[in-house]
Amino acid sequence: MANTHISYTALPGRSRPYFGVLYLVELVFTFGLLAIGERTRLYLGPDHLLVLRRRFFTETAHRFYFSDIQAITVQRTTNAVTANAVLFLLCALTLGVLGLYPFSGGMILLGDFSFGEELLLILACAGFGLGLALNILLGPACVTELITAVSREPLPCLSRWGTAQRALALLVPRIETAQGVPSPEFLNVQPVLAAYATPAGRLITQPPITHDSGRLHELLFGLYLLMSVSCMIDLTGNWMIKNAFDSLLFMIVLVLSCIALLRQRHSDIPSDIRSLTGFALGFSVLLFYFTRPFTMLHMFWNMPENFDPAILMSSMLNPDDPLYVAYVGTQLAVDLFVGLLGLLGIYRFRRLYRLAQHNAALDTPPPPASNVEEPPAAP
Amino acid sequence: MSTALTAWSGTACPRCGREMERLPSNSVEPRVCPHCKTSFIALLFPAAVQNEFLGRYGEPLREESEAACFYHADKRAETACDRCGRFLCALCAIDTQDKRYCPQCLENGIRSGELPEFQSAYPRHDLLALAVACIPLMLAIPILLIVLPWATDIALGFALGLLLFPAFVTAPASLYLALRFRKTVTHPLGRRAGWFPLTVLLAAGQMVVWAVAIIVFTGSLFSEF
Repeated sequence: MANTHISYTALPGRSRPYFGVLYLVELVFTFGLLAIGERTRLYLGPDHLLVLRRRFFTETAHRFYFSDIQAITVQRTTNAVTANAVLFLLCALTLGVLGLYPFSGGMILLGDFSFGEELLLILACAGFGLGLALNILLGPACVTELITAVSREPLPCLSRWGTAQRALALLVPRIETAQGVPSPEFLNVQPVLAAYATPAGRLITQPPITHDSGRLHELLFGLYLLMSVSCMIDLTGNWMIKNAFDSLLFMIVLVLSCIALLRQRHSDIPSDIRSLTGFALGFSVLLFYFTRPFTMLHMFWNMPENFDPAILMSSMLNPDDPLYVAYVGTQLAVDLFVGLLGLLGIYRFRRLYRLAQHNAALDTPPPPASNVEEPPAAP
Repeated sequence: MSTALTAWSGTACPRCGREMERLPSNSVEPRVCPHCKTSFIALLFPAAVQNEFLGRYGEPLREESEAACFYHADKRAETACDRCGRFLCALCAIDTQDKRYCPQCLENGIRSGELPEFQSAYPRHDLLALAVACIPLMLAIPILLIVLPWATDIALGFALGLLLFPAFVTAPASLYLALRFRKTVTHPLGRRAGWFPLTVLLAAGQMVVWAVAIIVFTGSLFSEF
């Protein structure tokens, strides 16, 4: 082999697709042997950077010679903050259920917690807590890209800010040794890198950043406020028609959130509003998927001998039940938080945009005199 | 939505594309875009201003009697492929360290392993063998974790069965894979993968357990008679 004797130095950073969730699944179920999500590692060679990708049982190696690298960009993202918020809420919810259990006199919903249910809750709580602690330890998230004359290569293993900085501290001196240290004159010529082609030769096109009025976000955050009002009503009692309306509202919010997430990607909507939209959707989906299986399992394990859906429903949605109050209370708090913060942010964004437009109109010079039609001279 | 090909200038925010103040030197310290508030690091290197085009074009035929490229009939042949002998223009001839190949031969050479210097995909047979050896554990441990809280003899027996029965097939299979590919391991980092000894140990252990189980079972069967 040609590169058998090349010595490589591993750079810090291992890719953890989907914030390690997929990796955790791989680790638990396949002992990390089956790489379902692509894993990437970087190695420093004598004259090139080796990007090693593994998927299932095949590794592919891409070499980027130091003399060909034109630029490296690292963009900070809010993904880690969103993940932290969702994990914290899930952890708090699980702890709340566990904490409320002793005060309910051992009776929650249809009967006692079995050993299996307790273990399931403790494991879920520990899992969310561990995930939160790890995510906090790993630090802020980022997107790193390596740009050459013909390619723009994302480096998913450098998806944490601290790791990317440590890796760059090792990589940049090698590039500068190969190409020379860029002088201030060079940095002032402002080169334009039209290197936006993938290795396969397909051009990457990016839509320009456009102005968004924020009407869709306003509607979405308004619906979150409406959902919080509905949660307040749920604490007093339950009606079948209102429950049906709640389900419809939830579906509308999910659809609108997805559309808003797509629309905001290349818009000028502030990053905090963009993050809030993603967080609200993530929380809603996770709460849904966390509570439903647990409720179903609880029903299954504590099925009464004389099964009656009406009695089951009324006992499940009982405002006197601490578990139900914890669930509705959490949803109420989050919906209120998202709705109020989102609406305030949108109104602030609009005010600032109007102000900027007004200032721009004042700064625009009057049209040149030659373009102005002069009135015909009097005879 | 209309899309436009964007070209990143080294002094613009990589997200919103708006120009920013230039810095006197490359720095790993982050900058913050005043428009979209995105924190970023942007490092530019001298290769960014090398605008010369390094690719080559084939030269067109001057006369009809001239030798033409096999792949481009209107281009002048400059050389021949060292593998298949086809005439090639400057565009089609791919230089290696000491030879020239046409694109087809290069592709075939990489696929057949004759040109290892161009290899970019490496099968990890060692990991495959280890994964096959671990299949019984992969099946049994999650099920054991799930059924443990409601432990019954049937549930535990089911998990142990999953641990033992697939090993009858997977242990010899992983042993075969480990022995078959132990000398054909290639790795981009140039090192011999070290999972084969563990695979052999694991597979051999499972086979020993099976052998013991069979001996004990047959022994108890004969003792009844």
